[in-house]
Amino acid sequence: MSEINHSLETVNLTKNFGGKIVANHINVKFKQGFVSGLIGPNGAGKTTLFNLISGNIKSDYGDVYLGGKKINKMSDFKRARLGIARTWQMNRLFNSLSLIDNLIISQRSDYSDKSLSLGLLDFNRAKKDAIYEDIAANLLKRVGLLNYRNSVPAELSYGQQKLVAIARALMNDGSIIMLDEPMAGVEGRTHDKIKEIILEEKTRKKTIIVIEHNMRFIREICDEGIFLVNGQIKAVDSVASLMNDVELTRIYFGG
Amino acid sequence: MEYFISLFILASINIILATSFNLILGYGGLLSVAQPIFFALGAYCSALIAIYFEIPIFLSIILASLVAGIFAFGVSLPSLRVSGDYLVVSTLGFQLGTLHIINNIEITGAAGGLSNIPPLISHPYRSLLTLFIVVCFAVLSIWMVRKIMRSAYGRAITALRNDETAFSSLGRNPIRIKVLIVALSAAMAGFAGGMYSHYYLYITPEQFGIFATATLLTMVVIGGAGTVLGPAFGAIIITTLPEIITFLNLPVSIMAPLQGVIFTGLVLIFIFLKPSGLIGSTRGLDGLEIWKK
Repeated sequence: MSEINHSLETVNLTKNFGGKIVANHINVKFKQGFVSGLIGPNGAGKTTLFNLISGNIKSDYGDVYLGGKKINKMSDFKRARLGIARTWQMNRLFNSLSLIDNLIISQRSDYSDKSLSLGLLDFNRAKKDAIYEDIAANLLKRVGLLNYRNSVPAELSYGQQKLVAIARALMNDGSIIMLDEPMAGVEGRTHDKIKEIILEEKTRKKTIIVIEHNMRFIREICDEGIFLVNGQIKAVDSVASLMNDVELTRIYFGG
Repeated sequence: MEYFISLFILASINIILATSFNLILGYGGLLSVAQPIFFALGAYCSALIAIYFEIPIFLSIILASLVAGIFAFGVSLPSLRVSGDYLVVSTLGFQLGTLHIINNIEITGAAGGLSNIPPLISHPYRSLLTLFIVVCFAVLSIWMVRKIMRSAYGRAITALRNDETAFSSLGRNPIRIKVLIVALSAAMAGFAGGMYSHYYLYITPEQFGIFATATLLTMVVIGGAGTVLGPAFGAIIITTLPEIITFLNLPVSIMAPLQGVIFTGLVLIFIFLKPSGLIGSTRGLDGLEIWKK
């Protein structure tokens, strides 16, 4: 897997849905070892930008580069295999799988979907799983949910599910981690835990992008803020500067 | 006695068919309505290969099963690339189109059906031996689905069914899995079709229409979609029930509608009172089946 460098860049990325432009010539570069916060009012195009980068939707125009390589023709699963991991606003965990299996299936080199025998000749699954089971168990331990390894997501609180979703993204061990509203509906210890994990990943030189409405959280962890409005980047600056900008504050809160 | 053996052979063939359908419907969550047409492809291809080429019957059944698998691959690939919903439309089109062709070409015997099909076994105990073979393959088909679903591949199928978008975003290829299980399921149905044609020795297009789809769906729903043994129980019930009703010696004017009423009633009862079917699977708090190793 070639990862020459870890920077992610979009050039003139544009998308419209039925005439409504949701991404309008977005040019942005995400830096390695940086936590970038996507800020903006609802409908600004933050999740759309995530979807365009991860390949869940294809751009009408413009390019996405990962480590200098153009990836916008690739499907989402191929991009994930290059190391782009993401979470979702609504977690989207696999409700029929235990937490440990949610994680095992999420590592990039998972062999299961490549088996032409459809698993009929898979006589040593437990042995193959063991390699990843340790990694998965360590991640569950890191998010404080190892005791729930055999539980299914529905047995967990919403905040705990957020932690599993983050652990699942970390299982990819890619260079890019995109977190869509990791703090929504989360408080107390879970809040601190998520913050701790993001900062740990930052020290591991990951490129981290966060969509978040919790401004305190953004201020605490983000090295830079990218302010989006109507599918366009309005400003890129330190979070403190963005929050002191009267014009942006007015746009964010309406009025 | 011959009557009962023949009935058990049909039930066993239906077990293979229902188990194959369960793989895509119950486990994969994919609604392909054309399963009976893959059964038909197996039945017709195997019969025609056996009639026109002097090869062992069992080999012709295997070849016909491959044909069904390849057709399923071809039909499902474009529709599954777009969206799962298109699978219903494309398989329905394929079913109706193929039936229309079978109904109108000479080589298949057209609407009159295809007869003079060579039997799989020519022996005084032909029926008993066929029953033994078909039961073995029914057990094998159940084992295959169980093995697939308990492997890492089954875990991937389960995750794919839970959330395809999330599954894909983790680096897994959903199309590949869906197309392969649809193809395998069709090949199993084709195999069942081959066994059918070389035992009953006469097939007609009307056996493989929408009514056959409804019957098959009933077997899986009543038995328990997404369970290993459920569809097999469903197949036995739905195959034997009409025969049991005939023992009541009711006039035809009552019996024919009675069968329809009982089938429809069963489906309604199961949907409302026991949606997980006779063999209920372990389900989580949100009602979805839990994957078992």
